Amino acid sequence: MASDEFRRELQREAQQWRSSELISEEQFQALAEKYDFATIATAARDRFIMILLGLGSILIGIGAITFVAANWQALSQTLKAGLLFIAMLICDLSGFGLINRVGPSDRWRRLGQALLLLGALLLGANLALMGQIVHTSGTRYELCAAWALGVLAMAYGIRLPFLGFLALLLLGIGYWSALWDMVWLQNSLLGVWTLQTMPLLLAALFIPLAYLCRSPQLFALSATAIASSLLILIFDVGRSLPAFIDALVLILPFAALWAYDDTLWPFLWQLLRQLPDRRWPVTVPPPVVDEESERRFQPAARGLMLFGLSVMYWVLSFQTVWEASARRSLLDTQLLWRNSSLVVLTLLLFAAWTVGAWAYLGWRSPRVWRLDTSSATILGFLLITAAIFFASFVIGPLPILATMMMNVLLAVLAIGMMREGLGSGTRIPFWWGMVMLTLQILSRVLEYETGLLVKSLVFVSCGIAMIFVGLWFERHVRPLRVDAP
Amino acid sequence: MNRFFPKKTWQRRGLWAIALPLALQTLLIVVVPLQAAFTTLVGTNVILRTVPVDPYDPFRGYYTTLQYDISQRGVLSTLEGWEAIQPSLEPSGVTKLLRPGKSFYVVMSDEAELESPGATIRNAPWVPVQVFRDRPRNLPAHQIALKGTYRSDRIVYGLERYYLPEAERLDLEQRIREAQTGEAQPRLFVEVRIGPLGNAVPIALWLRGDRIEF
Repeated sequence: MASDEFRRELQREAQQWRSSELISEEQFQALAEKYDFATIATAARDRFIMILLGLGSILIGIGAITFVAANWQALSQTLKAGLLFIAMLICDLSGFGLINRVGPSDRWRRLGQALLLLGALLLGANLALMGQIVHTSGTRYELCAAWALGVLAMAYGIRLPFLGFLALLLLGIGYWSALWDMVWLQNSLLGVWTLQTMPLLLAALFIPLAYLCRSPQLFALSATAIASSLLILIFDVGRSLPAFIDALVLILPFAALWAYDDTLWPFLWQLLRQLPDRRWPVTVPPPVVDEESERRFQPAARGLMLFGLSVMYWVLSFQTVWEASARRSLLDTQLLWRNSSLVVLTLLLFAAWTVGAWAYLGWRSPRVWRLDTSSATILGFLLITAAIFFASFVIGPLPILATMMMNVLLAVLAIGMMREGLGSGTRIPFWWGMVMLTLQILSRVLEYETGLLVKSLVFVSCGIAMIFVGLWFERHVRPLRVDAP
Repeated sequence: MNRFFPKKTWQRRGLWAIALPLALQTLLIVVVPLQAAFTTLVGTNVILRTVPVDPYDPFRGYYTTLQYDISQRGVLSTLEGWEAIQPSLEPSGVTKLLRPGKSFYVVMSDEAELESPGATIRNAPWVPVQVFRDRPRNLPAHQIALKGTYRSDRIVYGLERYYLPEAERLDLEQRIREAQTGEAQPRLFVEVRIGPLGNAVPIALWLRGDRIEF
């Protein structure tokens, strides 16, 4: 379905076309049917109602959780447990009945979704109450993980993306509050091994859900969670790895995000099905890439990667970072990779997947393996970054060279994003590139205490360089492409 | 490829779509109390010595954090069997972080029962007598094994929290503090129930001879 904004614009235009007799009444009716003009007026109101219902559910849920926390003695614990459990059952069953009963754009369906959200929150109240009754010494992470698991099961059952968001959010709260406990979580069921393999677990639990719900937002949130938990593991264990591998794993999350390709999954499935019949080497036909719509989550993954990479470059473009981090001990407690086999396994699996995804990325035209321009550029960026990390690990602090390189990379990335944004007619990359470039210039002006005369000279030469780059582009590089409809 | 990207936007879901998640959620809710109920049903009451403070959990409310005399490494290291298990609990040299803690068992003994069998002194604390790496079997009737976990920073028994009602919290904390700082014996004890596998559940607080249970 097209966006509301586009539909509203199209409706206005189509009415003008009809009055100026560009299109006939029948054609207008066909457009009205295809783009559902009838619901445009009510769409905003419906969304507002949905937000109100959702907020109401969240408030009631928080109320129930606070009621448990109050540990009110006028009701016996058994009665409280029974009431809360029955409330949860009623919410879930009636919500399910409502969304299942009627068509997709019915108001009862919205109420059903709100009830299911409330049921998911009441599950947390139930779990907390049980812990309180038996005076459990379990950590918040264990509570949140159990809660998230229950909500996730519901999300799979009913395929509602917002339950997936809630599960991810709960797991996130638990994970970040458990990070400090990572060293000594003692429970064997939801304990330390789930923290050590968190990126894998998140990928296995949430990526299929994103596909089932066809929700790019859920995918983007899951990918953020996976990449950040992967980075935590890399920071924890990376220092003890050989410098060469450490430098490579530091760019692993970015490389994995860029290479993400939705068509890889059906391709792997095909490959797995053919394995028993054939012998090595397997000859597989090159993947067919016909439908752009099949690659539904790739833009989200790449956008996330560009966002993360530009933020990392900005952080690393400060000189102080390079004076400090070159000491090779970011954390107080040095973890040795030999003692963290699960972490190493997780990293190995992700590395293997990433290498495979890059190979698949370049394997488009038959016989010749080559990357498209933007992927090749990004690969170059990542390799240069890894090389700088490696150099600073081996040689020692490189405050001048590394800072300069990071600034160049950041500027090129920002300008590239602006250019790509203009070329494809999308606003977000353009504005993000603009923001990063402005942020970079401001940071550099404030960071260095040089004389104003020098600053003025730098600004003028940057401006002249920019103008020359623009002129050069205009002359030698192909015109900005216009997106095909 | 349509297997992976179904085209239909909404389809009715069968009853299993709600029944399976609800069954799992119910299981998650009851698994913690069931464990505790089992321990409560078949376990033995034991009274332990403590030291409390008062934090808050946003989900489960106010609780008092309890530390026992057997939570201190100094106390454990005086017990019989410590030399045998100490090397496996405190490995020297390599950093073994990111690992679950190592479990061990403390044998608690009811000294009051031993001195005067059959007497009904119910609030005398039990005393630790021995530690084992594996769960000891065939203990005498007045002894029981409590499972503990040795972590890099402290020793835990899963008995570290006792949740307090918000209304009684301040008054109770005052009494607990008085019991802690006062010279007179007995001070604050915790009554726990220890199951056959060494797992324990806190049952009640003993404050200067009063039994408080929530």
